[in-house]
Amino acid sequence: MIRVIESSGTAAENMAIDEAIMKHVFMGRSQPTLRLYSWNPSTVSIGYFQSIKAEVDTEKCKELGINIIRRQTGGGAVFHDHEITYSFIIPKELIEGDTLQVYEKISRPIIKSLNDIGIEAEFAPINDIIVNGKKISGCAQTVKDGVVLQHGTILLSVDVDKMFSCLKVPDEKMKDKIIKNVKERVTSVSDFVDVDANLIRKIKDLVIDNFSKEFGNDAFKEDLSETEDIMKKKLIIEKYDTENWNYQR
Amino acid sequence: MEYSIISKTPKGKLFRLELDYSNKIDSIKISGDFFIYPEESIWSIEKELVGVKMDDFIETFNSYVENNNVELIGITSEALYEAIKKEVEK
Repeated sequence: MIRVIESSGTAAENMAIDEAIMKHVFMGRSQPTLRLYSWNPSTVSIGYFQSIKAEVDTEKCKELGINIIRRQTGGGAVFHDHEITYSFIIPKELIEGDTLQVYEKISRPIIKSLNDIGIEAEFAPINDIIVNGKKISGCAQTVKDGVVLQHGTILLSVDVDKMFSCLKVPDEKMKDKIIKNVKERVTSVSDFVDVDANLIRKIKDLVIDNFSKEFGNDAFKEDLSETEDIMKKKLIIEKYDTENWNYQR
Repeated sequence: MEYSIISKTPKGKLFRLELDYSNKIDSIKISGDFFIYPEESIWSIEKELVGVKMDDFIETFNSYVENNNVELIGITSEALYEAIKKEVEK
């Protein structure tokens, strides 16, 4: 069985929920879980190995009321604004393959869902989903205590100029060129279909259905358990809302 | 002498190095959008590289990775070495 949770939260909440679920899956107290969520407020998340000061204009984020969070997973900086974010948490023993193969397998339901609404998406190793060579979805993965967490985005629309008001570039002199380059390499659902509340619901339902089919289980909707919720709150206070965590690199 | 280095690996992942190097590594910080499993290995790898001369960089890095079952995706010791060498030899 796959548990499905839909939620919206702050950056720290979103990261803490996933870690709490991972720990409960490890303990055998929770089923594999698919979570579809959004960020309130908009957030910049950085990969575990990224330097926050090199990647993020923290003052600008503060000015705009944008959260900043370091993920458990590697990969690059992501501006979470108008998107569907997913996380999938499952014991590693239930997915065969090496790391790169697992990236591809967990990306399949996302790709299928986009295909189902007429968007010809395909997997591009290491961790991207592309349409006509342009990135529409990225993801990142970690494995802890034999439990896989893969989380990623489906871009509904993207404002590259807004993104780069919060993110730094390697070379300020090249910023215009870099932004132009990103605009050429990134696409979103709104480039193909009109995005409204009905479509968003349709995509979510397709993602749930395709995850169920891919991993051979029925899906059921349920909230976090009481102990998951307690652990989530502890993780927010002790980890994800702290400078120790977010500014460690 | 302190160095700030930015480079990309052949697979396109970006990395940054904050390095203090005279004739050996006095301190090193490796950051970027790559993946390392387990993630916490990065701290041990950096610690392992302190005191190392450039000639021993790749071997030291790779030995740690092999002996500790570390998986690298989007980053290699060779790419780091080449980026440091290019900067240090300027």
